[in-house]
Amino acid sequence: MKLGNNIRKYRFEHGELTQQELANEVNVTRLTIHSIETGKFMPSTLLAIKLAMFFGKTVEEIFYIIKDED
Amino acid sequence: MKFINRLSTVLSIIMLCLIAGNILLLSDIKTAIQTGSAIQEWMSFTVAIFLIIIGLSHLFAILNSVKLFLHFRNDSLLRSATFVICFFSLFLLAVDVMMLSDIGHEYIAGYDTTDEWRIVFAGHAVHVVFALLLLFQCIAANRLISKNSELTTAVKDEALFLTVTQIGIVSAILGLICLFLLSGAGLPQKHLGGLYFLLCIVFILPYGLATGYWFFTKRKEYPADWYDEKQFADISLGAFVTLLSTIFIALVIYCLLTFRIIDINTSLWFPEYFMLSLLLFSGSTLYLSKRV
Repeated sequence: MKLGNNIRKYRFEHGELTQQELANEVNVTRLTIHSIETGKFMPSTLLAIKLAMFFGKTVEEIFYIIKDED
Repeated sequence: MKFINRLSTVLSIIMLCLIAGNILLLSDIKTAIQTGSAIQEWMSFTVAIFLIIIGLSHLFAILNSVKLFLHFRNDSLLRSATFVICFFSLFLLAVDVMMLSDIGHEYIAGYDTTDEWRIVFAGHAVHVVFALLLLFQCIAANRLISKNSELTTAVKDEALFLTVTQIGIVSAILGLICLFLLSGAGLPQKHLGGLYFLLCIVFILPYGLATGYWFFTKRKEYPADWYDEKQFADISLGAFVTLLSTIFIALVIYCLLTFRIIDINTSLWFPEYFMLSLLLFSGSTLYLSKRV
């Protein structure tokens, strides 16, 4: 099972935010945001909640589980 | 920034010309010594002036690299390599001065100066490599400055973190190459320990300065805030990879030594282990950080 996310989609809906701008908002590096978006890095609970709070969404709306058969 | 970079571009071209001029003059001086001809005073004077200007250009290049980093706030392997090789080239400049001084005394006493000349010309080859790298760096930077793109300030810095790992990789690779070249050079064993130590200092200095600057920027933060969570994860995994790899490599070398397949000077152990650990740690951390 992998973790998918809608960060890129919400980034563009939120005034076409760049990865760097989003990284500044949640106090991480741009590479971290990029790695999360591409599924190479799994964020901690704290970072997932920070991202959800920033976009005004729930954590489940930002992140979802991709089952192996999908 | 444009002015400093253009000045650096001009200085790198001047440096290339001066190094070429120096090589020609030194070749003439070498020929004069070998044929027993008189060495004209203006030649020695010109070589000295050229070496001073080349040395000052090196110092300006260090300043330029730092300024470029502070301006662009991005990592660049070319800039990191230029920074490390600048220190090595500066060290070899000091070696050139020592060797030329030795040559000056030894040829009068009738000793052979072939090895000293080899070191001087090898040093000048490194100066050429450095001058070319500096020129490429300045040209690349000029293009970026001309684009005038807006840079978003990063709250959590990744550029310095990546630059430190790149400097670590370049320092370690060059350090290992020089250590092994020195081992095979056939120098007396009693001098090798000191030379290994000196080379380590030369190559660790740029890495130490970069790491020191990184600590300086973090001085007001709690250690938990020094890295973001991905950087912590990358460093931890990089350290684990380094631990396993160095144990395996040390075991292989131990077996090779035990069965007398190779013979390594005991003074080489720690410098080699240090450089290898630095290479493995910096390399694995950079790979994990940039993996897409």
